[in-house]
Amino acid sequence: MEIILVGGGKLIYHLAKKLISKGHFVTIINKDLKLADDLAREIKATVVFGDAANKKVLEDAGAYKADNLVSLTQKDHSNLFICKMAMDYFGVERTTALVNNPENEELFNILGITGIFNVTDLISSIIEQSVISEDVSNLTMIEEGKLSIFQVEVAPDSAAAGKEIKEIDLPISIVLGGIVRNGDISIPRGGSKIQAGDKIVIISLPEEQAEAIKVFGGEE
Amino acid sequence: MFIVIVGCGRTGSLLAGKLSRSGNEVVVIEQNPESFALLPVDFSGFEIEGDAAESDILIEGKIESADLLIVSTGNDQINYLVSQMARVNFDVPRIMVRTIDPAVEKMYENEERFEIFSQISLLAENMINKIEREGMR
Repeated sequence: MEIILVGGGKLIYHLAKKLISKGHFVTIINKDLKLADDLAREIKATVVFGDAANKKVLEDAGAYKADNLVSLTQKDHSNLFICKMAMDYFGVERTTALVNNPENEELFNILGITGIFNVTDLISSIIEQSVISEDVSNLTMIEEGKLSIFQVEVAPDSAAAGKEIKEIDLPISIVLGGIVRNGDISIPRGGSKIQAGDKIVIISLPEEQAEAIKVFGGEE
Repeated sequence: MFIVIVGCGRTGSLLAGKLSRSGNEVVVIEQNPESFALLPVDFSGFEIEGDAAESDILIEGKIESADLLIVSTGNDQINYLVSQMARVNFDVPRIMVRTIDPAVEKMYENEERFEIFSQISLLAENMINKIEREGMR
């Protein structure tokens, strides 16, 4: 299959790698120049630097021959627009969009987006469960265990306690989905400070789970 | 007529002012509160601060009873999402959409309820009007 991936931050690296290893032809569109550069160097995929909401950029990425376009930006209006543009202008039959606002799920469905990935519902259901569990809990595995989502309680002696997220040495493929502190939930940014006792919701590849647990959970 | 306008930039505020002056009931939705300052002093409609891509904000603007929606933000992607929400979720009978990139027009083609106004023709019209007005000074 010819697949176009749009946006997606750091997660896109592993997503693209998996798809390539399964024999798909992958084209990545990213408007972050540094990320596009890194991806072009590290992955055997065509990387197009630019805004996928621009028809010319989609054309450059070969949208007219794509079987599936996957739009994973943080903005619902961009994901919808890019998917619809691929459908209406280039006849792409299958489009997949990340939905950040759960209210939009039905609308996207009615408008013919074939795959919808509702990130808020997914993460909030994990956070709800995390209130019950302690320390490290393996909460959800996606695609038969190819991606795991779990949460770790930050130990006082961990390398991460007291640091801002950008200061923490983490593998590029580990994504932090939420910080639970005293029952309140916040979405982590580079400048968010981690405290001992916080519960961190982590999305990672199963093989990197151990590394993430070590960083936040401390040496055991 | 009851008209909801999304986006209170130069275009949105101009429309809101004129439509309210000519006796229509007007609601303007805008994310940036400072933009309401663009409305004329005699604007008698309602101002709602918020993201029109959130259903709650559209409902606050009484979108369900609107005779006409004008979508006029400076972002084609937001305009597309908001106008589709209005059509699908709120069944607004008439939707006018401003487009920035003329290439976008085709995305609205299959829906009869949409009327598309390209930024470029609007701009040209504005300029011509202005030139003609100044020519008479």
